[in-house]
Amino acid sequence: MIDFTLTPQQKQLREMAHAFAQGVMRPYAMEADRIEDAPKAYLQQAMALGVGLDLGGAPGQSGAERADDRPQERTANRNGVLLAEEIGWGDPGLALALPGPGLGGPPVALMGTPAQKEKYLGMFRGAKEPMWGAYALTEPEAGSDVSGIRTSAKKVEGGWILNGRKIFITNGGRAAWNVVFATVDPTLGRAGQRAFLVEKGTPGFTCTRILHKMGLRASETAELLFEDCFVPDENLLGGEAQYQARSNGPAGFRVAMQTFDNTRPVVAAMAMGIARAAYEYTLEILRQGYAPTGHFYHSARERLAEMYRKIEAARSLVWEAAWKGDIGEPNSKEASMSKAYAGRVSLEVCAMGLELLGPTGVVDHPVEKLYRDCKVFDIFEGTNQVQHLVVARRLYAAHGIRV
Amino acid sequence: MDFSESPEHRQMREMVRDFARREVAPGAAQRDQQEHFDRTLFERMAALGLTGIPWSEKYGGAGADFTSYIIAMEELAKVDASLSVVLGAHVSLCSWPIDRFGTDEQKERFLTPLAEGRALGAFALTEPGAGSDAAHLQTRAQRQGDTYLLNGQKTFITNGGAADTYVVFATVDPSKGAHGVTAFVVEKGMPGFSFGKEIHKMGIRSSTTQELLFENVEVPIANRLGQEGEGFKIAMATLDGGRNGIAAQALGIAEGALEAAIAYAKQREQFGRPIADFQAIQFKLADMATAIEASRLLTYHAVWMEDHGGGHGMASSMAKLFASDTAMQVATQAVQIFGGYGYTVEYPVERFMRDAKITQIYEGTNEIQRIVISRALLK
Amino acid sequence: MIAFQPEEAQSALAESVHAFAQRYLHDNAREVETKRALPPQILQEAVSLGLTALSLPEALGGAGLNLVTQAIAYEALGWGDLGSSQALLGAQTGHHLLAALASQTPTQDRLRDLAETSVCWVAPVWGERPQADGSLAWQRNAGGVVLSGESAITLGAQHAAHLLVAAGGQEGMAILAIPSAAAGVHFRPHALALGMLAAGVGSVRFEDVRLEEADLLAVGETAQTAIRQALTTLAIEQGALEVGACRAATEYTVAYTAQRRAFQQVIAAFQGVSFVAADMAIETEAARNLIWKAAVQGDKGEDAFSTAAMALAHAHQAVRFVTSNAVQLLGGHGFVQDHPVEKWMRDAEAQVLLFGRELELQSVLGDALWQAGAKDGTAGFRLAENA
Ligand SMILES: Cc1cc2nc3c(=O)[nH]c(=O)nc-3n(C[C@H](O)[C@H](O)[C@H](O)COP(=O)(O)OP(=O)(O)OC[C@H]3O[C@@H](n4cnc5c(N)ncnc54)[C@H](O)[C@@H]3O)c2cc1C
Ligand SMILES: Cc1cc2nc3c(=O)[nH]c(=O)nc-3n(C[C@H](O)[C@H](O)[C@H](O)COP(=O)(O)OP(=O)(O)OC[C@H]3O[C@@H](n4cnc5c(N)ncnc54)[C@H](O)[C@@H]3O)c2cc1C
Repeated sequence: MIDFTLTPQQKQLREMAHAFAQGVMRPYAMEADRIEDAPKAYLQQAMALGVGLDLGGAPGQSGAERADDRPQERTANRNGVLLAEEIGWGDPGLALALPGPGLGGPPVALMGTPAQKEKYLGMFRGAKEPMWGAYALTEPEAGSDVSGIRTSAKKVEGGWILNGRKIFITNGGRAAWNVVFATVDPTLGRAGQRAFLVEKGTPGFTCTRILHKMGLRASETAELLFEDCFVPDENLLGGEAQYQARSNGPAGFRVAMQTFDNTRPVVAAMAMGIARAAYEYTLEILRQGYAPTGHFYHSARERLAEMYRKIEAARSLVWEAAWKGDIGEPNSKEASMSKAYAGRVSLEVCAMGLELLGPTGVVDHPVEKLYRDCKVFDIFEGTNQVQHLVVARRLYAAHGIRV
Repeated sequence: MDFSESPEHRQMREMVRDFARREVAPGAAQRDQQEHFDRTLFERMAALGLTGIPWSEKYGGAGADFTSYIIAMEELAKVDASLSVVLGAHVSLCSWPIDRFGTDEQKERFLTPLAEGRALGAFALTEPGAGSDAAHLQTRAQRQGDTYLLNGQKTFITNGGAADTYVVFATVDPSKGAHGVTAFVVEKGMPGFSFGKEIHKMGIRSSTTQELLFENVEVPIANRLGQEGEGFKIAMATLDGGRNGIAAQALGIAEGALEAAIAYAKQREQFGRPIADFQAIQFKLADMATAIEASRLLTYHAVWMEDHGGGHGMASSMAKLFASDTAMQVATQAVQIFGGYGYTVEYPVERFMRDAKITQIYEGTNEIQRIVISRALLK
Repeated sequence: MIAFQPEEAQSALAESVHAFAQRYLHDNAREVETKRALPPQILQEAVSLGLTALSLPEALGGAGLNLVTQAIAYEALGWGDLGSSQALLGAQTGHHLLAALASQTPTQDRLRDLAETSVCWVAPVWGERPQADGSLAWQRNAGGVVLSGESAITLGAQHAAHLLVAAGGQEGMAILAIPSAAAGVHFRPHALALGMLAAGVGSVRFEDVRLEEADLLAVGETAQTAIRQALTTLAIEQGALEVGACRAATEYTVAYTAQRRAFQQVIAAFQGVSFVAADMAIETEAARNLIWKAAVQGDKGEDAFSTAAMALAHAHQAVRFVTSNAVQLLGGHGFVQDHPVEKWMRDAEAQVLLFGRELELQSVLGDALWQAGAKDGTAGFRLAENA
């Protein structure tokens, strides 16, 4: 079937998310940008309403598991991108600041042992205070090149010792736990990688600083340090058996990458939500100021149509990637397509909005903020270039060429 | 045809570059974050003779050409666009109309302190209700004997609050439209002249942008620039002249961003080699450099025409249009080349990107430039 | 429910159309272009497979395919060769008007008769007045109707038995059917060097052409509605053909660059090559999705006019981007006739001029967006919703 309609549940879901974005996020957006943090009142409101961020729930089960589990179709990825678009529309910084397992959710759901899932995902149920999970992969010297991480994990009695630094970790400082990727032996490349659940307050683990950024300021971006940090065996994500069982394949790295297949469309959806917000602001301001006649109108409507068209195109790619994930087919090409396209287009749309608005747009105005916010969507979760690498690899694989 | 730089121009470039690298660059990021305009930098520019480059020595200027001024703007913008905005508003927007339209006595009184950098200048045209359409101002100037009574409000005024000398446009009769607009020199401290809200911006944050409020400000007739009703012409001529300055500013921003990107790409390693080894990066750099070179040629051609008395209106519009679009693209690409680091305030490229945006907007948005250019083509 | 999976029947249809396109359109494309005509046996083969009646409803003797299925089939044809596809289909664009009229009127005999011949819609126009071609006008005269004026440049008219024209008149917009052999009908072929050489590109001049009352298929409101609906479905057909062309050019380029060597490597190893190929794939994918979106909307009985305009604008942009980069990535070989890509690029550049240009289409969408406004408080876009 080819279809673009939402189920009644999805419509309801989206309407709820929209109401939250409109009524709770937007009123705090400008302030959050100024104070470079998520206002307490905002977090409390989100908690009170039970709104949290879990990028992907329990994604990635194989088709077989799903089939005998339950007959009806899995929709988690599609629901995820619908929600993401709305909260991106509300405010992207505040979206990433929402309490919950966040980017840390997918690897735990994907690979965690039942006990780990219960403990680290379960803790969010009924939490009274805002809590976060985080995903710590990037290092000062290893960004795009994820296989080049140097944070080391050394096996010792009863656990592991971690040493190294992580940077750009969203919510990494305040998170109750980080999923930390480390290597047991850099010469093993990806096969040597392991993922650990490191709790806040673990001795040897510190947040060394919070980075200041051009946009997405409401979201915390942290630098983390691990100095002889002991992590018990039970916090090796998935347990050593899993890594051994898959020792012919690099499990840790694969987890990192599978996570991306699920989160990239979500990130792309947020970027698209930003673009949509910029488009809507621009359209409404222009509609208040101009009658639909004259030179300016004629060029403006074409610009607006271009903005809209590109947003629609991005949305279609995002939905396609999410759908493919839901039906259990490999979707890394589609995921990267959606992210490459939405990241670029979001920036284009915001820039067009600014251009149409003129000076009004750059002073103390949400469109200006959105423009600053959206640039990072072309960078994190794999830069635009990395998405192109992934797509190109898939295209050329059929010809036996590795690019 | 000659594309070489004269010894005087080279000297100017070296002097400003040295100043910019040594004294301006180090605090630029911090000033940006704190939205802090540092007056001592303006005073340092005065000491170096940068505050009155193109004005006659008789009025405290350096007696140099506009090319020299453009060179200074470019070199400053490479490290700190905000400071170049401060200088641009001071020279192109405030001093320029006084030099061009002022009487000898007015030049003595106003241009000299501006040129010597004892006073900082600003230009006040835009109002909450009149931006691109400057013929319909609300600020009133009522003649009362030997003085005018100014009432009204101006917004988006660069150097507002910090400046000492303001070229202000008001109408003596709103029903006359453009023909009622009249220019005045208003000085800080005149009773009834005060400052409103400070405006927070996405870029050029260490230059001030403020509202001006006029409440029965008595401005002597001796402070009127030109005749009653000549203000619109003065404003338009001033903005025309200022465009080269914006083009130079945009050029500088783009160059600063490219320089940073090249250095970073050579030093940053991923996948076991410098990212400069990847064609995706190499090709970006090549495109950035090519666009910059084209902006440079357009900009210096426009100012060459200005110095040689050619009608440079269209050349300036083209330079401003192209250089500002280039600055935006180049800065955005630079952020991309820096990856996550580019997004943080620890490297200058995100600031370049924020600063670049305004060059597409002020002194006539790029849409306006396209109109100017197409009109000249079709007339 | 959001899904992107063609049904089995749709995939099967795509496969058989694909086989036809490979054999008759792709492999013969150069020959068709040189002769500036589609060989009759190809046309016969296509007719026997029903490929020239993909857009006709059952009531008019067609297969009654829904729009999504049509889009899938047209993509497969476009994949074969855009120019040859137009040589095949250009004389049948009138089907869209017939189908639109059939959905409005109970008396369909005349429409059915027309549908049995080849019937070309002369110069479909979008824009401010989507129906009007400035200079075409009709008026009543002595119990009949007279049509005069010259059409915009169009495609396929020479090869059609009947022409359908939308023209303005005192009583309003009308849709007229004209036998192409009627007195006063003059074809003015245009010597297009650019592309679509076999598709019969040209304008049609109507010199006081006398028609029967019965040739006046619709007037006023009915005509307007039909034109709007026909433009919608035509846009889906054209956009889908373009998507097919995009896919062909991307596949060809990937295959070529995967084996072409320079500097001791296959050139695909250079990111300057492979990243562009990735962009070609992305643009193709997005263009297809938007065409599907318009088709789904139409199939649900909603007004898909603006969505279709948007989708076609996007397909235009994609097909130009993709085909010109295909030439670029083949280097000098892309520029010469040993490979199909230079033809694809030429065909694409001609294609985007003929069924509504990007700017016109964007204006249509822009007007709709402006009118609708950003509907806040529900879930954003009205047009996007389609739900
Ligand atoms: C606000 C923010 C939040 C973030 N949150 C998280 C988080 O929660 N967890 C986490 O683990 N990380 C996070 N990141 C990190 C982010 O994922 C990285 O910044 C990103 O992967 C890019 O890495 P890098 O910054 O080291 O850039 P680099 O990898 O150094 O890239 C620099 C430039 O080189 C290009 N490049 C690199 N390799 C190639 C190649 N092979 N071919 C062509 N071009 C190439 C890149 O595209 C880029 O343009 C965050 C970053 C930011 C800015
Ligand atoms: C009409 C015409 C006239 C000509 N006249 C002459 C003539 O008079 N004399 C003569 O000697 N030649 C002539 N040529 C040849 C012309 O110079 C070559 O076609 C051209 O140099 C490209 O080489 P190629 O066709 O082998 O393309 P390839 O080298 O195969 O290139 C294919 C694609 O790969 C890209 N590519 C290749 N290497 C890299 C890399 N390292 N990084 C990134 N991308 C890469 C190219 O940019 C191109 O997009 C002519 C060609 C044409 C079409």
